[in-house]
Amino acid sequence: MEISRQEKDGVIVMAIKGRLDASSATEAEKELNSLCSNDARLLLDLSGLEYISSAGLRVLLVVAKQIRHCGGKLCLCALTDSVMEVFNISGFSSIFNIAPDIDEAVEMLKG
Amino acid sequence: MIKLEAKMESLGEFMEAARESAKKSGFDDATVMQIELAVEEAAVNIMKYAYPEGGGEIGMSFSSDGGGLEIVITDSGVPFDVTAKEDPDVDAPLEERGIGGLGIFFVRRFMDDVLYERRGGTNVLTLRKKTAAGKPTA
Repeated sequence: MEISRQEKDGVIVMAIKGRLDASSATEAEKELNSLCSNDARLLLDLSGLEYISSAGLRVLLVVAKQIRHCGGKLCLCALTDSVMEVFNISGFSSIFNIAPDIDEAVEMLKG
Repeated sequence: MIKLEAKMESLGEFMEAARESAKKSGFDDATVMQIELAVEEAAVNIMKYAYPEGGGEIGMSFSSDGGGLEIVITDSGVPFDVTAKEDPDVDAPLEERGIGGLGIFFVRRFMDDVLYERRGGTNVLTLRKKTAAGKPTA
């Protein structure tokens, strides 16, 4: 798993690539949780995420709860079909803001 | 049959074996991922809960015929029937959402058959995924 970071129009964009599973979850949690500050607007670009398990979902859930706690906003975008299926089955697709691509996600977060 | 320590460090090897077996059985990429996911969740569950004192091993074997793939996962830890767990509430809102039970829920959703037996001092979990050819026609 690789996580890279950039900023776009005041939004922090983190791209998570590869596999978010039980072996990479701890590292992902550490990197993502450092972003929780007041009014943080965070976008997770999942276009390169090939695989996610319940351990990976747990990390996203923790980040979502923290961001909400500090009054920020979170959006996910560009989920691959297989990752989307895991989101749908677990009901996670209805608890996250999910945009089809980065541009739409940035618009969503700016508004 | 692979036998490895019930530790997170073993996960990669189990999953690679699952991936290879699933590919060899002729499943498409999406189904290979579902099988990997089921194997990860089952193995991680054992790593977390089967051996509260530490130590212990997980065994995994794969066999396939024209009809599909069968994965047998064994451990000699505390008895745990994954088929008896209740499904989590997947409609709960964010604030109330936990992650407990989701792994086992995935095992059941992504595999066609999930069987649990306690044999002697061993937990035996059998997971089966059928190929299109192995599924009964309607």
